[in-house]
Amino acid sequence: MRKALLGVATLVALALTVVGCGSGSDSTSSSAGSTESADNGTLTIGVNLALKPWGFIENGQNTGINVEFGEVLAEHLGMEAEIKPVTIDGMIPGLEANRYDIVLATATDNPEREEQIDFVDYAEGASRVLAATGNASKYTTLADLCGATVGVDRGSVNQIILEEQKCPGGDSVSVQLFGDDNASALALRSGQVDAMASDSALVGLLAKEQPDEFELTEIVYESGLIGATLPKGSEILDEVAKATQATMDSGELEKIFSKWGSPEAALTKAKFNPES
Amino acid sequence: MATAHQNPVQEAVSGSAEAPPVVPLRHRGRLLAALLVGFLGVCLLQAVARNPNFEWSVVGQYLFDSRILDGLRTTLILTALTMIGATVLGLVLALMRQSSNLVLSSVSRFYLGFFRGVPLLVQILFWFNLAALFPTITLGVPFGGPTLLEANTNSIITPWSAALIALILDESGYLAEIIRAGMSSVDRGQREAARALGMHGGLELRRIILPQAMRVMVPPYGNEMITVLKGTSLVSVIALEDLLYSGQVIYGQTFQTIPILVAVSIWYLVFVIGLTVVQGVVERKLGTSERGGESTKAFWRRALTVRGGT
Repeated sequence: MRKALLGVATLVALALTVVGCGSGSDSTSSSAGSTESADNGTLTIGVNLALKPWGFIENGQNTGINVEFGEVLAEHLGMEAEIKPVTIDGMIPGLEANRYDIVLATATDNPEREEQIDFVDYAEGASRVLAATGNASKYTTLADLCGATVGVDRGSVNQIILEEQKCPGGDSVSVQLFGDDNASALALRSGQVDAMASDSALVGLLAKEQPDEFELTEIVYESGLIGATLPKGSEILDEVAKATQATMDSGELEKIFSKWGSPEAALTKAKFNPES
Repeated sequence: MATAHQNPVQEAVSGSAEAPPVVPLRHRGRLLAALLVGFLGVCLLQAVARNPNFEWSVVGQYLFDSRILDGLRTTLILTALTMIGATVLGLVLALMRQSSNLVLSSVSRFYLGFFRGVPLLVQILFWFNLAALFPTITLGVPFGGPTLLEANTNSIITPWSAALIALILDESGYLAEIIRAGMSSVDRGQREAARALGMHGGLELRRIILPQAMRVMVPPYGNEMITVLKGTSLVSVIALEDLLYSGQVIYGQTFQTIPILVAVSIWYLVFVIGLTVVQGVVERKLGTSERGGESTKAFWRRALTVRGGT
């Protein structure tokens, strides 16, 4: 009797479940687009602020290439820029949750990533290998890194390039992946890695600011296009691409890159996917 | 019903010819609450399972990816070695703490204060980059005495050894307190009895104190093991390829952050639940649960019985 009651109750509950809930989860595509504040004329920009000179905090102020580019971009869109800090791990979920309208984290564009998010490319990446002071002359080409341990930012294009480096005699480059460049630099300082590979502007600054610790090698290589990232289906993709092109045409973008010491990195044509 | 004959009212009435039927106490409120909770649970499950944003196909694709499984193995080995090392060290620290020698007890106190006070993340980074502070490690007689042993710090400190040192030193502080609490829960009379029987030091500890202390120690110890299992994920900062790190490396390239984090979490969840079950079994074996020395079989029979009228 009691069992029967429970059975009936369970059936009723199940029926209720099928009818009652499940409405909240299906409306997934409608939310893609922009943050709530975007409608009020504020462009919420996620910037990686642990990436000097691309993004960093100085005297309590957000500054760097990506911060300045973001502000100019918002201006061309007729919006107010609001800079929010973002990390590697938080950037994709943040975009998918519409926490940011756009993320500037010096992400390298590639087809695999384009399946997840949209890119508007604005810069040409260049990487350079940094060694401990006194060791830089040991490394002049990528092949010289065979057998050496190299610290890189995990997920960066440097990881792929070094992992795919062909070495004679079954040797390889031992790649150690860190969460950010500060951890790589600390490992280089303590001798846990023989060298680090990262954005050339970033390692250039490290060598300049800490000459007793770090020295630039002659290993420089292209590392693909760097893009602003937007969630799939963003309503403002076309506008952002147009505004990016406008910052190029007006010379503002090149001016920003010149200020931070790498004018050659600025693109002259904004490439974006999905290409319309 | 099994409980019927224990009911004095029923005993008294059973004599008369027209005894009213005995009906077990109904728990209408409880039944309703269970239904409501069950309903909400099914709703939640459905909202997660049918949500395309979770990209379950990607989760499935990476769940048994060889990189994820390698990371899982690293995480499990790290957890096991940390618990073994920290238990030994924690026991030493707990005994030192209870020593009447002021030097021993103060050193233990200081150790606990220090290693429980510094964030584990900082400790891991610190040990890994020890060579930035001490380029060589020297063992010798201090104040200019002869050097017995000298080694390059980085030849000793690898990501593995740095992670193990940091995890064991940190965890031993917590385990020392759990062991101390367990030992002080044993009645003083037990010690006195052991002494009266001629037991001393190690024998008293092994035969009398620890077996009884274990009963108090098991629940917090199991808790710590779960904390350590998940806490090992911090070693990703020194590029040791644990479970979380393996996932981070994959989504660093593919940008499929959410489904890969879900896949990684499923593995953590599986092993945490496994540990919880093991802890339950050990607890019941030691008879520490509040339900007394119930056997494992009896526990599951009770837990799985739908009616549970008593």
